[in-house]
Amino acid sequence: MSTPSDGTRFAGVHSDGRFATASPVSVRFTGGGLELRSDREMGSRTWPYDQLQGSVPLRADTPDVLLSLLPEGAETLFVADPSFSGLLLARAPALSCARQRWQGLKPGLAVLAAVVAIVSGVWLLDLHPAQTIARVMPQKTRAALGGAVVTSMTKDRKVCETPASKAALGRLTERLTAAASDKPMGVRVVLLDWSLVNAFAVPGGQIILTRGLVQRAGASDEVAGVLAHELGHTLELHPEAGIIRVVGLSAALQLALAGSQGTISNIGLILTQLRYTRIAEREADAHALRMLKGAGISAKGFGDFFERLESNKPGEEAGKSASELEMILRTHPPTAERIAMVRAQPSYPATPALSADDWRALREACGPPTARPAPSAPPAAGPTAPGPTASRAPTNPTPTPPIAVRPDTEAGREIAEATNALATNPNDVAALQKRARAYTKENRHEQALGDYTKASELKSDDAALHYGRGTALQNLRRYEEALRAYDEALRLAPGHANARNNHGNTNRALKRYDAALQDFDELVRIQPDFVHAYFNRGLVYRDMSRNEEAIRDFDAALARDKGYTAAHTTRGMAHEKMGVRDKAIEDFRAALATPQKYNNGAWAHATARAHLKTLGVDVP
Amino acid sequence: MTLAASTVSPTPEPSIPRISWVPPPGGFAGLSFLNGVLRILTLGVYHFWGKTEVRQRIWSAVRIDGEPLEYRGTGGELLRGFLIVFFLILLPMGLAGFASSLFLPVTAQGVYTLVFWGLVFLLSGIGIHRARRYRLSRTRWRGIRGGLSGRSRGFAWTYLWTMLLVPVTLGWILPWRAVRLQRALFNETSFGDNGFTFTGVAGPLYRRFWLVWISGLVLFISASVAFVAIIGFDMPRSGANTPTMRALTGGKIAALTAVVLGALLIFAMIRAWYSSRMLNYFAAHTKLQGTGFTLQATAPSLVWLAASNYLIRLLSLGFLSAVTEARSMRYIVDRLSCEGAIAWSQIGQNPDVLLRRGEGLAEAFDVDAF
Repeated sequence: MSTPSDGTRFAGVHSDGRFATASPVSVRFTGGGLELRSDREMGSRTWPYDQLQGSVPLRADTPDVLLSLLPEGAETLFVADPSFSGLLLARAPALSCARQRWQGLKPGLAVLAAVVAIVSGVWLLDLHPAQTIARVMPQKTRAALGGAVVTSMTKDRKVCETPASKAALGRLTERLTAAASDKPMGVRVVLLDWSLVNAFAVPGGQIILTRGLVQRAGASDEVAGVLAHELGHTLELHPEAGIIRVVGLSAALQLALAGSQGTISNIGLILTQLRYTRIAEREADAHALRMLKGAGISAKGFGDFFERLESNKPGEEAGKSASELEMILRTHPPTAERIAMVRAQPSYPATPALSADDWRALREACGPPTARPAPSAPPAAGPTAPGPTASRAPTNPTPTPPIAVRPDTEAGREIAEATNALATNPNDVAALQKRARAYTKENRHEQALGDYTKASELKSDDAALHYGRGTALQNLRRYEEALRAYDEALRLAPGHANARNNHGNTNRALKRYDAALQDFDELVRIQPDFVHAYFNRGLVYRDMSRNEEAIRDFDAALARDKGYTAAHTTRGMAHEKMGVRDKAIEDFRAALATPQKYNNGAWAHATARAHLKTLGVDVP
Repeated sequence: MTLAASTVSPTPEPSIPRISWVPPPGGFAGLSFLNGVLRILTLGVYHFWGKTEVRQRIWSAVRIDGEPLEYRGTGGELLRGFLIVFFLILLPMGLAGFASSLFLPVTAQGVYTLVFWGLVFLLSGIGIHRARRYRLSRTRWRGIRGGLSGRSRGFAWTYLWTMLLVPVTLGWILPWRAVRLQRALFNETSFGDNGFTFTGVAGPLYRRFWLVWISGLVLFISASVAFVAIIGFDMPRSGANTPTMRALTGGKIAALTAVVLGALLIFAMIRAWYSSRMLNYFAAHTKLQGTGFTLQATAPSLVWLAASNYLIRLLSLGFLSAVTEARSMRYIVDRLSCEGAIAWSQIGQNPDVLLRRGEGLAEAFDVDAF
């Protein structure tokens, strides 16, 4: 078959666009255009190449071609010949895919160039359009924005305020804002009855603190640091700028993606916001440090608060450096980075952020502070337990509020005696240790930590002091630091059973179950009759839902000590989990029949009673 | 001069039109992916030109007596339509919603929300009508345009008030609504100066729909019972304690997933059985010059089409959406046939005025014309 040439006539079908009929035509390529020739009245006509339009962008392998004339020609020509399109493209290249797509790309590339120019300008000139818009936003609008946020947050939560707490918070805010700006800042700080440990800056100069934050803080300086940080957000109008940015970016993405709410647009919006949030947090931190210095408040509290946050993270997160993806997804700079920044601050003259009375008033604004539960609370199955973990550490797991020293108690007397001794010799390690133990009995763990820390600095080779420091940190839920203290104790005294035991309990609190099991396995190996090792290991197995192994350990504990109240109770809970109702009831009854023993005895009785009730058994 | 062979010659009239699908060279996957890349590169602007090229390819694959349909829309028209709707409707509505949450009292916000959603549904109805009108006006065969007359507002009002009846009737009105809307659209649709007519009624659809409705209810109740049975609750023997849920294990989660997927699959099959009936019925009662059409949709094939299209869109993050559009169109074309002859010489050019911008509302509210 010969290759079609210029002289070749192609058979085509022509429609005049006036009726839905068609007639056969022959088509030939000429110098100026396509020549159409028909046997009927049409005769011969030429369609210029530069006025042709195809129904689709053409390729050389397009098997058939439908043409019409620009701009809105109704006549059509259809040629169903595979060789036609190649010859046509040689004469009318504007019909090709590449050219057609290029025409379509031009507007988009122009927009891209404009956006790149604008974004480059904003970046090079260090403009902050969202913040600029926020600054020109009327205060009434900003206040309305913030009011809406506050309303939604306070919907189910009450605002905590007493005359004393209001005055205390006012004094602290005044002290910080005076250091921040010469002009009055018009800031309103609200304390919400919310257990969440957090604080928020909302538009319109409003700051929300939570009960959880205030009562978890170890000192007023920590709250001052957090408040200063939120004031930094307020100064920079971050809340307002954030909202403007979200609305603006969302609208821009809607425009760019033609209204589709695709996954990609949502992901892009979130990632962009996260980046701006991290920048804002760094700026707020910088403002906070400046404010604290200006107000004469130590920045140490700010750092202590970060450390507290860090140590309360679940096991695998705390202290672990972030992967690339985690860095991208963070809303805040890494806590370790923030701690380092705070610790790098030079020291300056400072006084406590609040007086003792003001601090107490603030902490009690939402009611008396709730006691922190003892370490190693078991998972709840029914009423929660304060902590059945037994250790020889002198901790009282039953939640009790901190109480003032009473000289008529044994602990009170020990504190008084040790304090007298330390008045003579502040470096008396034995007195420090004695007082620390007494503080622990009184649940005054901060003071206990202070004394243990000083003692261990004075006598760094004493394993017992590091162990004591570890228990104080553990009681304060500063688990990572507690582990380090126990590690030091075990380094000095590898056979220190209590340190190993508490090391395991701390790993359990951090949900590092494998590490906890290793601790207790080691403890069982070096001290096979240490009854708490079996009990605590049983708790770990329970946490891991390995109930049979847990029961074996509880059996082992009870074999060594039949009066181990909590072991009866936890064995009963394991039996109940496995659906062995009769044995569970037997265990709970045995727990109640056993006098309360060890520091979790009271918990054991209360829990056994509650479970029996749930099981529908009459409780003695 | 040699005469190159052609495989198409105009058929003598009147004749029964042959409807067929001829896949374009290169298919749709490559084009779809390229469009996605260019769309990202141009911050979304190329989307309208990419969409246009996809439609051109899909239309040209549809053949009547071997001659292709033609799509004459342009990317510029689509972009203009979208921009107008975005700046005149979407943006103001968004800002109004935002401002209402700040400045309106709570009681007024409820009223605002009602009005807002009423407006959204009304605009969706207008969007559907206008998008359909635009696409039909840009569709040609042998140079003759399609068309949709009638007022968009009238259709939108029907769309809205019939939608409000759906929850009131617990869904029983759905077949009646579908027929009503189909009639509203098709009785105004034309090819050239010949109009289509739709003669369908809702009664025949209810012969299948009742099973869909009942099965939906039964499956929901069964799945709920299965959920409770699988999860398990510990009932208190005495006292005021509420039942406590037992812990979820891996096996339970797998069982729950199986229950949900199973119920959805069964419902999808039953619904597809109804949908196939509805589509076939609509085709048979749509006429041009008194000639009806036959569609041979079946439930299994519909389920397969919907499920596979969903997976393609999901796994490609939407990059292969053009492939799913082409597959859906091919599904209809492969199963559609004309029952009688059509006299093409009796069909003249459509006299309607062309819309100069396309589908902004449909694009903005993510509704489709067909």
